[in-house]
Amino acid sequence: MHELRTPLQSIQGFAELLGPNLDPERLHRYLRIIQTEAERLEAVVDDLSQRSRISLGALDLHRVAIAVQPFLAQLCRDFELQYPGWHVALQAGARLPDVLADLEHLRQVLWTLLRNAGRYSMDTADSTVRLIAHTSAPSSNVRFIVMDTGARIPVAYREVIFEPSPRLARPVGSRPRSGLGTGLYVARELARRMGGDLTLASSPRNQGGNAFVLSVPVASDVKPA
Amino acid sequence: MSDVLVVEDEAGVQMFVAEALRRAGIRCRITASGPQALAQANAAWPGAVLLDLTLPGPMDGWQVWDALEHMAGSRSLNVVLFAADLDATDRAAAVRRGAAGILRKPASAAALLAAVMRAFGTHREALAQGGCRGTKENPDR
Repeated sequence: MHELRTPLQSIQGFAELLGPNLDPERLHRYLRIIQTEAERLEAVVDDLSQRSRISLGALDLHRVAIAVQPFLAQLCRDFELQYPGWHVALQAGARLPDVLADLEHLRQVLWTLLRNAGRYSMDTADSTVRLIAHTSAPSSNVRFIVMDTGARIPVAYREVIFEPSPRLARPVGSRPRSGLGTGLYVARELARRMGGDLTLASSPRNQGGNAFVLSVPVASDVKPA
Repeated sequence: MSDVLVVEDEAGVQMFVAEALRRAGIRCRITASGPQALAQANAAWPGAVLLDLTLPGPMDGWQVWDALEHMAGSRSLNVVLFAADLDATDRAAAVRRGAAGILRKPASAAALLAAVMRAFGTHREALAQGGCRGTKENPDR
């Protein structure tokens, strides 16, 4: 499998090139490559593991009431700590109702969306990622919208990106994907198992980029599973 | 000694190949896509081509190989396939095309160098015979 063997090539290759006579600059560079590629491999293994649990129906779901605003504020802080240089502009009112969701799964879905948005936006003039949470009566769902400022995803790919093994052409010079490229598939599955959904909408007119919309049931409207 | 044209889009693998070859005193040119590789081959014909199959952009490795064969004319084309996904069909196709070597990732630096040196040997043999293996003029490999 290409996604497993390629990072393995870098890890094994540079481990082989390590030696006692290596100058400190090269040693540092090799170790950084090994670490980066190991992280990439870990992402692939995580993807495989998550996909396997989904296909086996073996996902644990512990839905609890979650206060949206503090949850998102913490998520954004963690995200910016993990990815220095990326900024998330959060808009979430304190009056939003609690949602009923699995805390870890909700966090994973939004993390995937924020990470994708960050990557999509990083080469643009305004690389700020926007995370908006709102609800509109009589909707029983809270909508979490993650917006990037990158190139719009072509219409032909709008559903393909949610497939288990999306085969998307990668432009020359673009960064390799981490993981299997199945993050959105896993994210949508998790959203649906929590009683919500994940879709791709267009950004508002006059704004570039993409807007992913995650809807999650309000706590008072759903009885815990 | 001739150089190696590396056709590989993964930065980590590019760096590994470049370093392994550099230590053996072998020059290389790194390209990340089919069109880049063809432009480099056109500028200076390489002694060997280290070719990945999965590439970004409009051409996969097989298409790059086709194009290089087309460009080769009377020159020797020595391709070492260096890919992660290689099944029996791929291997058979590579042998049929006269691959100078077939390497599946991950491969050690020693295996990489051995394959490249074999490819260079093929190159020298072809020159000594006044021939050009793998070209349309000499399709008897």
